[in-house]
Amino acid sequence: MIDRVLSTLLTLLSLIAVGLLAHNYYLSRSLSQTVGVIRSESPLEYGDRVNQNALQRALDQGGYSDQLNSHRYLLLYFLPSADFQDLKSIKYGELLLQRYEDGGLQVFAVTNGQPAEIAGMVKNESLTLPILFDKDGLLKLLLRVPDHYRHTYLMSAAGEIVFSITGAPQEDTIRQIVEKHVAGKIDYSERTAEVYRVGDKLPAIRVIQVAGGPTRELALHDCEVVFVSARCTSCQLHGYVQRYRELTTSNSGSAKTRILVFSQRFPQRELVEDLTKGRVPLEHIYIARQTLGDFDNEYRTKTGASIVMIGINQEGRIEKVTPLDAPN
Amino acid sequence: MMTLQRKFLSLFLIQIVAAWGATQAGEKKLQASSEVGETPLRMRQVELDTATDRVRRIFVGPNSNIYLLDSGNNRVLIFSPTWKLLRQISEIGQGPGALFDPYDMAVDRGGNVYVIDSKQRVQGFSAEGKFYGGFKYRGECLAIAVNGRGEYLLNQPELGSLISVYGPNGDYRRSFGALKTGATGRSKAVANRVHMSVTGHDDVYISFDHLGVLQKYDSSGRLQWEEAIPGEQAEKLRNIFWSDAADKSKYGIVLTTSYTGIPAFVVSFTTFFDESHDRLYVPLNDGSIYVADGRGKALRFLKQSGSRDFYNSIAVDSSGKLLVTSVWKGVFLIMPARPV
Repeated sequence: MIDRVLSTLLTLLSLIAVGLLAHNYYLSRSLSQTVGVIRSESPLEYGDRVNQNALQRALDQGGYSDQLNSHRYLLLYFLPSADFQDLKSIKYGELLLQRYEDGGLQVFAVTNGQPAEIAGMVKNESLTLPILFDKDGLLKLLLRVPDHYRHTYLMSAAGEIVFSITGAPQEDTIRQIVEKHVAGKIDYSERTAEVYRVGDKLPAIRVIQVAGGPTRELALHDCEVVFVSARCTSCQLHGYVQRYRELTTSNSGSAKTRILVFSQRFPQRELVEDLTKGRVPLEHIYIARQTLGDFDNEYRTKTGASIVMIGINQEGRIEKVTPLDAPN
Repeated sequence: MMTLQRKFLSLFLIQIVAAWGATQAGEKKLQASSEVGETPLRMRQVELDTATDRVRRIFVGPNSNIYLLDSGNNRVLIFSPTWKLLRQISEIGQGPGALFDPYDMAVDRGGNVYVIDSKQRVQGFSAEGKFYGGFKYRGECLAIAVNGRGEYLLNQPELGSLISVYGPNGDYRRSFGALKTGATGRSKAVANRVHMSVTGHDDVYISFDHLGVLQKYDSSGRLQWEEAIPGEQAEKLRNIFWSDAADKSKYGIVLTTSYTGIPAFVVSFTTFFDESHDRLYVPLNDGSIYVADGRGKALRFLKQSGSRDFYNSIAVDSSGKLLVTSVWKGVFLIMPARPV
């Protein structure tokens, strides 16, 4: 009896194994047909081509396959989640789409993030950029997007890659690339960073509280803004927090409220962790949701330049800018 | 027995004398460094007839034309000696002949331009802007120079030497320059990041970005001399760098400020040797410019008062005036024209 049960079980297991092998074989064949010839596992590079039919099929996940016929170029931002960095790229993508759609550009944000989370961001930020949920990972596979899912491609509608970069490129970089291919002419006169000087009015800045919550506009009057701008998003947070504590507890004679604003490059989760660890009250601490003119310079990593204190008078004008030492 | 005692005694005395001598020498060196004088400078900004963004390199080529690597705009600009824009070479892109986040540029004696960019390419262009080819290199490289033999000199510490030399077709020929010890892994590349200035005789002057050390090699790659940049700031940064290298930091270098993912201080940004006046210029990260002679003897610090701008490239124009570039603010003429 036991022998018979065991034998049946063995037969069943063998059948399942054969079934799985067949399924895997079918999947691999299907995927290889979809993806076409792939040289290696690294992301596609300039000059690589993807199969146009496969591209059409992948875009069809969001009902966007007709976009290949109506546009000359596709700009695809692969973004994993609805965090600040993605939002920045999406906002800039909207601007590019607005400018160059007539020239034949279509821009997509492609995500594998949680639909509810993304939908929340779309609603809160009134986003208009088409967002494609790559739920089956077809586009990721087709374009060999890394697992961290941050990559940007500009490709022709025929499937030829003309620009490929891991992560989200700087706004000026992607603008120049799009202008070169879509508009046929690069505008070198465009300045992306506004320059603020003493006496200028600092407009309200879009921020979120570090503890979370919706984006809002922070009007700045009669206060001191300690603005932290650094290239490295994950290092030195403890040092910055310590520096801020020193500033807020120092007897500088200033009666103004001090507000700490981290540039949008700082990840919210890590900031909250560090601030909580350092027992720093989260009140008056924000993360920017926009660039802050030339104060917000990711390359200013030289001592004394990656953190500045901006004194603002009652009229909202800048009265003093003090570079503060970077924490060691 | 007596002989052994005598030997010990004489060794002991020799050691004492040697230690005293070393202390004296150290003090003398310290005195010498603090004795390097300062010359105040003024800067006059050059008005350009086109926008630039993150200028990383300036060269004065044949015909006295001035070459700028406008890296934020992914192009090279050539100006006449009177700053009239003559032409633009290349534009953004990832294909052949286009530039993508270019790091450095060299100009040869014929006015041809060679650029390295973040796609790990050396690409060559004629003075008229015609693209005539290039090759890909391995690893990280942030500095390029060319010599009179048409060879490319690339700073590729990851390959085991300071400088790798390639032929005109990208064929590897030789390498020279010992790496500084004390850093491993990716930090090795940071610790050995240098800039180069090649003379008409193919001698090579080098400044280490993070160590504040200068070297001269002859055309065959033999080290001629090595000198540390004097001054309190350079010494402080150098000491921090090496003291933490041994034990404290997991990177092998001190965690101070971030630089392409590896935190490190920059001491000097570039170097330029003015052959006609035997002057070696090294812009430092406090905005001053260190000047030595061709044998590395310290001469002056050129300092601006009240400015925190710092300069990443330096050249001498046809009339002998010093030109510097600021990453963010463009091109400046140094006043007075010949400060040392």
